[in-house]
Amino acid sequence: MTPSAGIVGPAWVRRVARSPIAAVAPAIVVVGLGAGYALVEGLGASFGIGAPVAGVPIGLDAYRRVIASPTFWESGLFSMWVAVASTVLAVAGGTLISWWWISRPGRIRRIDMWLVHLSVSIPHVAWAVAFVAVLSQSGFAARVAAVVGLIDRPDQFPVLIADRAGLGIIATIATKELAFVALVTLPLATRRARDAVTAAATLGASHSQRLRFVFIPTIAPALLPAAAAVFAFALGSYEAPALLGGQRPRTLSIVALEHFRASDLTRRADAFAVSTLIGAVIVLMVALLWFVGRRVSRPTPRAAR
Amino acid sequence: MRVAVRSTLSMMLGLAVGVLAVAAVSFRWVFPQVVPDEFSVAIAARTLRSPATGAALGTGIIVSVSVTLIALALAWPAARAMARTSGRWRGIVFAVLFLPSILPPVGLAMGLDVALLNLGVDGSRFAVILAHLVPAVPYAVAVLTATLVRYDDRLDLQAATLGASPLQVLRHVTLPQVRSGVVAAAALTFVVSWSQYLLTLLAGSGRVITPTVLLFNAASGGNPVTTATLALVVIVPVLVLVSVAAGAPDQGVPV
Repeated sequence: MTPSAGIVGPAWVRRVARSPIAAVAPAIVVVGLGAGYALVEGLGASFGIGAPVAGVPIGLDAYRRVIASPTFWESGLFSMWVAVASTVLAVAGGTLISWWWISRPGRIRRIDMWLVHLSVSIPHVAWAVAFVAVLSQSGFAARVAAVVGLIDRPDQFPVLIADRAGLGIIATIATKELAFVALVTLPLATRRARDAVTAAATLGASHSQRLRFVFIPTIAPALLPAAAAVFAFALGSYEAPALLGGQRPRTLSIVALEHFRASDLTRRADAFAVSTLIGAVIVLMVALLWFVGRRVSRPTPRAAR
Repeated sequence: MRVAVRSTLSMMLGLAVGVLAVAAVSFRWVFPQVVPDEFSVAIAARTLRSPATGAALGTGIIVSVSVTLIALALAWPAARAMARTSGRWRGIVFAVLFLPSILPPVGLAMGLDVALLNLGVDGSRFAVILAHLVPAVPYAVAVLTATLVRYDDRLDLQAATLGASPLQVLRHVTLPQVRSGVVAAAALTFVVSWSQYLLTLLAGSGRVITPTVLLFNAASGGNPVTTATLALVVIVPVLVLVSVAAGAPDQGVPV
């Protein structure tokens, strides 16, 4: 049955209605138009174009103002550090989970899937709240450290929340996203990599050789888009930096939202200039990952599946 | 080693949920007590019974259920088509669906908010539902496609040949066989909507308060016991729904 069976009308109407294009159209239109409209409006507003920034002069003023701000480079570098560190940790952790899953024969246990799905699904806000409760200087970890005698007072516990290095933010994002990476690489890991890894083992490849030369190249087609998505999320996310970040340095996402929520329309242009710059960095990173992907991934002939 | 993965993940999740659960019923939990000396459910009970929490739960459920139903309706035909085809345009469709995931979340939320303002619907539940569809629909398509690739279309054809109407085919042939996958898709789509903070805040102009928004507000300067209680209000439905979804044979994201 096609989704449009039962449609009446001229032959061409029925043909279009029954084609796969008609089937995917509603979903594509909602997502593509929604995201596309958001993208165009945002890009326009950053140049002073469009209703949301009515009266703001058209041009590059917003970019000039944003870049001239004394904390711009500090925020930019901090955001990059947080995003790169979270992505590297999430990709490494997710790859290891995926690797461990296929290192033993047999189906993946339901409890493992449940745990990974749960990690992916816990809302970011709730996860950040939990991390504050565990990692703050009077949090659970500090109390355990005090009871076993490592510290005497809360201020002796390392500052992990609102710290200058953004460790709390990185930990929060990386721990949630590593489950996402595991989940996205899972189909390739179980359907293609497992057999290839077994074959490599039979041919005498060591543990690390199997991981490096067989497993990672095989899951690369899923791993790289996952890395791109984690990086984009980490660079532009708001919840974790807002709840676990300090006053300085602040991530660009915090800066953008602060501009956006100001009542002055000029600052709204600034907000979109910041988010456009974030977007530009993401585009560069996606291009880089795509380039890396072409070199790393091992093309698997379709017939061999 | 799988045991290592399992224990690491369960320790992390257990620690997070456990600490929040203890914090929610603690009373004067002073440093360095690992377990509070005194317990009280008074603040938690007050938080749960407060009109603000009730209203947020109502709003959150209305929004997320609407998003789930609309997203599944949009995703179903798309997933059926995707499950049957391979090749270039399958890649293009997934690329479009992937677009929201590589936009910076802050930029996406601000852009969507402005778009909704232009449409004149900003600040309503309707606006929040529209905004949530952008991340929710790709998720629904991905999960449904993963289920439907293993469905044999010829059963539908057979039923149709025997005279079943399209609706009868859907109800009596297709759905019963992919039910667990559809339930998983519904549960996970609900969770995607339920988790949104920034999209809800901006599209709702701060007037549409879901439990996640309420939690964020409490976390940025509220009583820690209230915050922990609200965190559990947000997390418990997710726990339940993910457990429901885990009953499905395979909910991997198709690549």
